[in-house]
Amino acid sequence: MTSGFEAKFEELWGHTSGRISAYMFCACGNRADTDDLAQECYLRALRGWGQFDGRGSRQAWLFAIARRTRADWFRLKQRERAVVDLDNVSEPCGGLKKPNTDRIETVWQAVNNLDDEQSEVIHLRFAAGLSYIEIAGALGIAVGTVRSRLHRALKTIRRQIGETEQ
Amino acid sequence: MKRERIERLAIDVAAGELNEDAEALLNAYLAEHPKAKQWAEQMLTTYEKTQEAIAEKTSWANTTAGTPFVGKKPTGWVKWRSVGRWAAVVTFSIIIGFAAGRWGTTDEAMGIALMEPTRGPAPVKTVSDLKEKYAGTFWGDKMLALLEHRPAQQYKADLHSVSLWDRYRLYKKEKRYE
Repeated sequence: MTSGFEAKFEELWGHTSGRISAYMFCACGNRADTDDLAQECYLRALRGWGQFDGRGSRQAWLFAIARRTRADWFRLKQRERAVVDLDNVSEPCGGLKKPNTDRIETVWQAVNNLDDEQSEVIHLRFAAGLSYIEIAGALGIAVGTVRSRLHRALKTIRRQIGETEQ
Repeated sequence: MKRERIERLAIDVAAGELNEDAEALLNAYLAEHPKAKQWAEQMLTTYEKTQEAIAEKTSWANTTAGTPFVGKKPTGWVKWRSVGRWAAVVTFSIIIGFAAGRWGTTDEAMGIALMEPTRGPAPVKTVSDLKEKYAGTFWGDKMLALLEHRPAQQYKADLHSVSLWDRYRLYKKEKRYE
């Protein structure tokens, strides 16, 4: 017999594990880090399980944790990169600027080139499959802000993939 | 309507965030305004491409979702019914044993016989015993004559006047020289 908490956690896991992984993958781009990030996210969720105040959905609460986990990971990586860049100051970091003719790769790179605010909304919408309200809950912003960020992000992507505005 | 407004509504439609009435109104508007329809279609195309690219890149994630690492105790590994049965048997045995020891009669047959010390004075055959067997023969008479003039071997360790520890030490010492 599993307790109520365990059953709830299993249910949440079942609904979100794939989407959490997808959301994390959008940030780090490799599966090893994705697994680490997803694991860290669920560990934080476990530790803070009792802190959920019931406002919004449990799923939005989890993605808020995922977002913070991702942000911490980014900070750590930036620090590491800063140390590495001392030796390679003149070399650009990453291979994101390479031209790629493949359509999916082009769009993927356009998504990766978005600023943090826009990419967060894009990832939560398309990778995590959250609704506007859930995205607003996870990011702590208004639904109108979600809509405008999504719109700006898609406009930026369209511009980057070469579709001309008419 | 402005282009931005049209595009936002198109995104809402694609995301399933616009109610049916509003969607019907939008469609009616777009049917009358080809330019606006073109803007909406462009944004929908971008939306779909973005969705497709992210779905393609993250498709593996939805197929590898395992089971959570918590809440998965091995269920049923403790057979409580069996444990209870054995506990009852052990408890009953202890009670029976205690009762038998406390109130049971102890006759001589049940008593524990103390063992005689194995290392006591060795049963030495006396010369008179040997005489009965060997007297009358040439070599027997010789042997009996020798034995009569030789005191019997007596180990100091066999003496009961010394302590047990001293007897052990003497025994070890004497055995070493034998």
